[in-house]
Amino acid sequence: MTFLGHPTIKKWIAHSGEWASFLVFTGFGLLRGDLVKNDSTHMFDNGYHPRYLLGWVVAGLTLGLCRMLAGRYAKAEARGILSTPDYVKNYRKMLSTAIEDLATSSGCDKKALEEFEDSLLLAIADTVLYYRKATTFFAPQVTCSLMTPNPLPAEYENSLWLEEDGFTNLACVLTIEKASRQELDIPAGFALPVYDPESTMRDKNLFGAPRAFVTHEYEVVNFTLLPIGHRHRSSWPVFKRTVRYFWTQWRTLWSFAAFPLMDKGKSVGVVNVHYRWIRILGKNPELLIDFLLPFLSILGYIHSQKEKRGEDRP
Amino acid sequence: MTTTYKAASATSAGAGAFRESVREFSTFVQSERQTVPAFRVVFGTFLSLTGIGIGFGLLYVLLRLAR
Repeated sequence: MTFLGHPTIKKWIAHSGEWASFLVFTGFGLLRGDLVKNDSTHMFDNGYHPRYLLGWVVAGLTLGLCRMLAGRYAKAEARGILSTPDYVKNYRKMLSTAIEDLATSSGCDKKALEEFEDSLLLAIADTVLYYRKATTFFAPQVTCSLMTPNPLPAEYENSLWLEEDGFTNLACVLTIEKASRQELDIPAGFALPVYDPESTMRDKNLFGAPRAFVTHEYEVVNFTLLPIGHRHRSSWPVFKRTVRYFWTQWRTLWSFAAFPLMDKGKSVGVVNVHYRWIRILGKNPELLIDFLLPFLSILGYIHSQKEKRGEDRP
Repeated sequence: MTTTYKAASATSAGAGAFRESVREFSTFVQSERQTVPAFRVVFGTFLSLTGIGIGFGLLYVLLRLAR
């Protein structure tokens, strides 16, 4: 592949075209919009050439084209990273051995299942780290944690995350059971509320792990310090407290993704992946999620098997 | 006050062949080039600034012509 044929370079060229057309389109529209308007008024007059209007429209179309091309090349860049021979070889080996171990998991004891879980968490964290290392200028450590539902602790009534009168509608709380590394800088007794899906507060589940747990859909928060579009139906005081909490965690957490762990159509836990930079899964999360899904599915099954064996919680 | 969590470490992780392949993958990820090469970032920034320069230049010319 030639230097200029590389998707990253093509992406940057499209971005530069985007900047140029954006400045011309908005700048001319704002500063000399009167000429454009005059052209649009007289464009059908005999012998009249609406050159300002045409130029302005061309700049707008170029902006749209460059935006589309930049997105397409960013996708091609991501696909290139996730299809390098070395990565595919390692990933395939990991997946095939995971399936082999899964086939024999029914005869495993609790400790072996626990270790299998640990390996799956590490595999997820390393897959995300590999991708982000190839797409960011510096790559902070990626942490993957497993959150599981637990009964309500008595002192939870005063929780930071709880909606007004929410305690009576709680189904369970999500707590961190284990993580891919030890030092998470997370407050002691950290637990997120999950409201009863049958109660009136079912829509008030907080973004991230609780919502992923209830809706069975993954959720990606690209910038925790400004989580625009993630409030949904959470009350303003709870949302404000959540954002304030993220600001206190700015040294360790800038973006995260929450994936529900499913077994036989039911949520059995949530896997959170986070790190200290924006966009944990990049601009095209779907590409990376395709690689994470097999591990998440296996983890969901293994976790529920472990629970069935009456695992003692730490 | 923070707390420490039960960590999945490379020494304790995994069952059988999967544990070994995860360890190999971790080594592969660590040995991969650290991040996007600085050159590409510099070149990308240069291209973006060029785009901004061209944008302002064109805007200036168009505004002059529109006088």
